[in-house]
Amino acid sequence: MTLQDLEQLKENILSEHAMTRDRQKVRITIGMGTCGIKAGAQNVLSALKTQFVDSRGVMINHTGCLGMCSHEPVMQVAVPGRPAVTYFYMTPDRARRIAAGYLAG
Amino acid sequence: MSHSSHILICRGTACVSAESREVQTEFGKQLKQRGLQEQVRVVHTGCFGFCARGPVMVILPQGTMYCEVRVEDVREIIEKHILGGQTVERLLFKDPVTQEVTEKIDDIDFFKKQVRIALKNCGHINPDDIREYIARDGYKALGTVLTKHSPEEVINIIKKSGLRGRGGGGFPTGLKWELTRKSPGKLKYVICNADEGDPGAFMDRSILEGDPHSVLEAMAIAGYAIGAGQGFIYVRAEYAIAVQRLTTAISQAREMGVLGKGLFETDFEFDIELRLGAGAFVCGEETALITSIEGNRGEPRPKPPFPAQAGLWGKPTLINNVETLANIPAIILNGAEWYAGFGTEKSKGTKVFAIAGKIGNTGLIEVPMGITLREVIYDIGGGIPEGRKFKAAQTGGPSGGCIPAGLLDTSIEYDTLLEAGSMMGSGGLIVMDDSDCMVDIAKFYLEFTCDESCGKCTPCRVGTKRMLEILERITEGKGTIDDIDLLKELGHGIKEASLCGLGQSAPNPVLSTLKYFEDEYIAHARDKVCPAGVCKKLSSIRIVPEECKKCGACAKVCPVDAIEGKPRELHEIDPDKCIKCGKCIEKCCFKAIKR
Amino acid sequence: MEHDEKLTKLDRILEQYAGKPGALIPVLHEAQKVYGYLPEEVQYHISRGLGVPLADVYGVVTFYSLFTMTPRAEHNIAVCMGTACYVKGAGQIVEEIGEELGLKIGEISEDRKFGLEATRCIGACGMAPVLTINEEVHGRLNADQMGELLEKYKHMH
Repeated sequence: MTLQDLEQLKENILSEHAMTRDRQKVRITIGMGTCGIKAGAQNVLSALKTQFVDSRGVMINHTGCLGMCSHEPVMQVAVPGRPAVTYFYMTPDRARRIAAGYLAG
Repeated sequence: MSHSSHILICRGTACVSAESREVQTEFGKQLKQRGLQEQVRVVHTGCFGFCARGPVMVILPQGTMYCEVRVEDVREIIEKHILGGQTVERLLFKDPVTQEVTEKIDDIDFFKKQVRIALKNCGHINPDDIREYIARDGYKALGTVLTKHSPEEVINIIKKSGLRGRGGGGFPTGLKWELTRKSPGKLKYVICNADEGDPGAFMDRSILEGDPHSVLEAMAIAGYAIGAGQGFIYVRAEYAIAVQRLTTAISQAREMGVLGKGLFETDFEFDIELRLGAGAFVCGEETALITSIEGNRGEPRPKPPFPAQAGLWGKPTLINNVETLANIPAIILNGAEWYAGFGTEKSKGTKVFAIAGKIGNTGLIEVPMGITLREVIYDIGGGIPEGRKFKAAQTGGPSGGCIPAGLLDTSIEYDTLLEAGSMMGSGGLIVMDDSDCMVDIAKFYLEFTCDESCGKCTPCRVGTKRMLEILERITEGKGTIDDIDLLKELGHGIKEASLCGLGQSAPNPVLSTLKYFEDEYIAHARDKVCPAGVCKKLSSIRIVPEECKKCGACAKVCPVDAIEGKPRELHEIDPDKCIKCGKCIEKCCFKAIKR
Repeated sequence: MEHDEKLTKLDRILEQYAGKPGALIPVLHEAQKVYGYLPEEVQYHISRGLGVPLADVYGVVTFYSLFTMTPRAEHNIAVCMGTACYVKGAGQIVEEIGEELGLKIGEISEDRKFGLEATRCIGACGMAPVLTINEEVHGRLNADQMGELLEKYKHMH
């Protein structure tokens, strides 16, 4: 790989991301650092994954610690063209409800 | 055309009495004036259940909830939120019980004063997917360095950036790289010190869990700069998630061709191996860490020779801490001047802190050097909860010390913290309020170092034990005033005579609390009183007769039946039976029981 | 040492690390995963396999707190011996558990199912007497309940 290849790869990934973003209504990211996992982030993630297993409109991803460990589990929801909204103290139930709300519009 | 936003306004009884109808009318009016009535639909709903904060409204699709919205606020909501896509912070909903907040992340006070360089990707990318790292310019710094800079140029960039070691010592990183490069020898190593052991510190863990590739990339850059082809990451076995993410990251990097042979079509090769610690705090010390990777008991060696001269298997070795490394790619991409633009003259850039203890927002922050402790604790940390008073901040863990309220405006720099009798340390910051006993805190840290002393040198092995015994004596009411002088003498002796950083810094928590809170030591040793009521043998619990309502609740909850008196009789605590567990204090609704 | 499945695994680990410098600690980590602890025979086998003196192996095992030479029980019972619990009858509870399982404090049952230990105050005085099994806290106990409580864990894996 050359530096140019790397730049090209980055562009490809970005445009790929942009394309999937267009197809998706909602992008959900769960904080999965140790703090998040201890606070129950795994349950939130699994709940969302089972709930939206066949749903093309939702993309579920995980990330590291955002820094607000006292507010875990943290969930970020992004809708194309809107600022991302961050939710604190997630439970599987709340996460499902919020995600369903976004999907419904 | 469909509506792109919905505004839901509560028309429950409470909100209507708080003029929610007027707010709705105003929205309708202003949206029409701006020709937005097609895009934004205003509807009223039933009660949201937050009547105390009415009128309440929610904007969809973001789901942002605003409270106590007045007619005057309507214009701002339309301009800022609907048109500008920003949240109107002052109207956001905060749950008074859980402090639960729903809002846009950058608008929170917590993030406003932060500058995130080492943490730039944490919480933003999926650490298990190298492509997300590449999408945010990952490995571009490595590619640039390999194809456009000589090793000397790279070292110069790091030197010019002013970056100093973030593991605690604060040694200039560029100089360390240069020394290792100049050491004679063909075989050299790069080690990433991820043996983060200070109680209360988790900066490195978060970086490894949230952005492992930044550390791998930096190690390869360092390898190129010093002339090494092999790197080791020495990480605590207790950090299971970090280990797993690192393992994934290393194999993805090899697959992608950014680790291994012929990187970026040059003849430079670099690979990384993971080594797990096995539960020994002293292995965070660089020479002990090297001995541990070599497969031995992790005991430190005398310096010199420094690792840069003779490190792993006797070869020149560069050891950098996780956070130090995480800064490197950003410095290469943005330039040394950019990085040196943050911070102060002698402490450049940013520092990550793990804030914990008696503080509103516990968590992980990255701030520019030179920020004051007050800003960190009050503006970012949200201050001291429960209306209590700030007493001291502990920085640097078991190697550091306490900074009292009088020095809250100290700026956070390597040298100012040293002057204050503490140190930057790896970045643990524990806040204490007036209910904490400083003697007890010092004892806690000494118990830790005493337990973790490797036993190789006598001052540390025996000295910390003797200091701990004196502190135990003092907190149990068996101390004398002479013990305080003895503590100082021993402490200075251990600092002078110990072999490695562990022993040289172990007395710091005691010496710094003695410096600022000697009166508390005197109260314990001479007057046999613990002013904070923490040391059980030196505190008593009593019932204030005038405030006692004679309900009998305390007697019922007492686990040792130390409280005499039936309901409707005056209660008293039998000091001989009382074990000072404090259950009665918690139980008493009238706050009639005091320490 | 008996030739069994675990030993085969250990030999495979030793083979994999043979000739690698600094292999001792990674091998000990792996061996402890296989055996649950590092008894003398295992250390001896590792010493032979890596060509490291047994004294050095022992030295490393005892230096690091994550390595252990005593097997861990499946269910670890820790009875709080803080003052409140002691006054409320923690002593009788220890006795009762001891009788039920045939254990003294600090011992582990032969099938490694249960271990019994006494701990310092765990700060749950309001629920005294208290014990923890694994990480779970059980409070407001009396000696008569012990049989029933242990029965639950006997069938748990």
